[in-house]
Amino acid sequence: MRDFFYCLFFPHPMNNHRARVLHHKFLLSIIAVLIFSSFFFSSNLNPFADKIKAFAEVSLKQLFDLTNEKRQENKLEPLVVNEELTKAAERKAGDMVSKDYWAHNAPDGTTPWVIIKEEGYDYVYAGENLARGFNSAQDVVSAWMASPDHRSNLLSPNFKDVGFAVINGKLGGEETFLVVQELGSKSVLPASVNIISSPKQEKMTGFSLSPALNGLTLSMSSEFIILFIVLIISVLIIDMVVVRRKKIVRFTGHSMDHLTFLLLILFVVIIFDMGIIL
Amino acid sequence: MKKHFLYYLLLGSVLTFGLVLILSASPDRGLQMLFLGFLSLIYAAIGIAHHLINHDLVFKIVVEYVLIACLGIAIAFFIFKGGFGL
Repeated sequence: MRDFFYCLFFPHPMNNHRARVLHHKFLLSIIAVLIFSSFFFSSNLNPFADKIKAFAEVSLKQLFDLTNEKRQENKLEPLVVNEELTKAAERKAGDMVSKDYWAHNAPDGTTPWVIIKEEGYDYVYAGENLARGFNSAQDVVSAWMASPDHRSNLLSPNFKDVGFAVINGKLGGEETFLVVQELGSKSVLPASVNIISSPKQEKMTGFSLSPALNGLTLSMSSEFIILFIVLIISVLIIDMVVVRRKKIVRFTGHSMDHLTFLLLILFVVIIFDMGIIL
Repeated sequence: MKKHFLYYLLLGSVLTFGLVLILSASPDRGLQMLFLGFLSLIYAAIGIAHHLINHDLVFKIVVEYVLIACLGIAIAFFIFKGGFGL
């Protein structure tokens, strides 16, 4: 048993001086498992589907509480959940998934303001914040707070009501969580000018070092994959050290090449797991 | 390592350029996957070409580079498709 694990991770004459996790058969098995899992877990057969729904239910309340928490921190009146704005948010989220777009305005030019009006909310002020791909409500609100445009929506004294929608759907082939926040007020509050909060487009990408990403929550899948990549990288480092020390001559690819490439993949996994706001 | 300095410089530059391309394609995950696919192909090609130049290329090295490139694509695809859904 000890030999088995040793041969799994360390170069040894018994494994032809190459850790078994770097052998072709092992790599091929991992690739096959990953590809199978990619299709299996994104299908209806996913045993975790119920947990995804539970996440969405928790997020709605958390989003509402966190939004009001930020407003109260800034000495603003808390927002009240409005049924019409909630319906508008749900309709907007459903529209984005069914028409496969990620924007404030639909491909046919329909603006969020039209949807809000059609749902019966006769606004004086209105605003919309969007987010996708985040793993917690805390990350969503933090990302909005870090973006000046979204922050001004969240902390605007002009808004009294709010409606949220959190749905799981496919955008551009990617399985993701969509968060829609519609804000509005029916009566004129401090300012007397009729302003519609502009949905200025903004994206948050991996290189941003804004405070929003300090508390980034990775999904369980990403944590699992990152652990796996770190394991392979560690095995490659051990391989380089042992081969150099023992001066082993063999015909294999350069471990340094694979290590560099896997580091890039590690970055990509983190980028793919980061949410985007609009 | 010193012997392969230019090679590693080339590989590092290509991978860094690829990472910048992937970042600049955000938030279009489909385009990012496409860039990663091309980058993986280039990675395998550069690795194989280097062994060919050094006259130590054997079939199993070709397979190894192709498998590592495929592993990279499979990992990214797994996350792209939503992982375990958790």
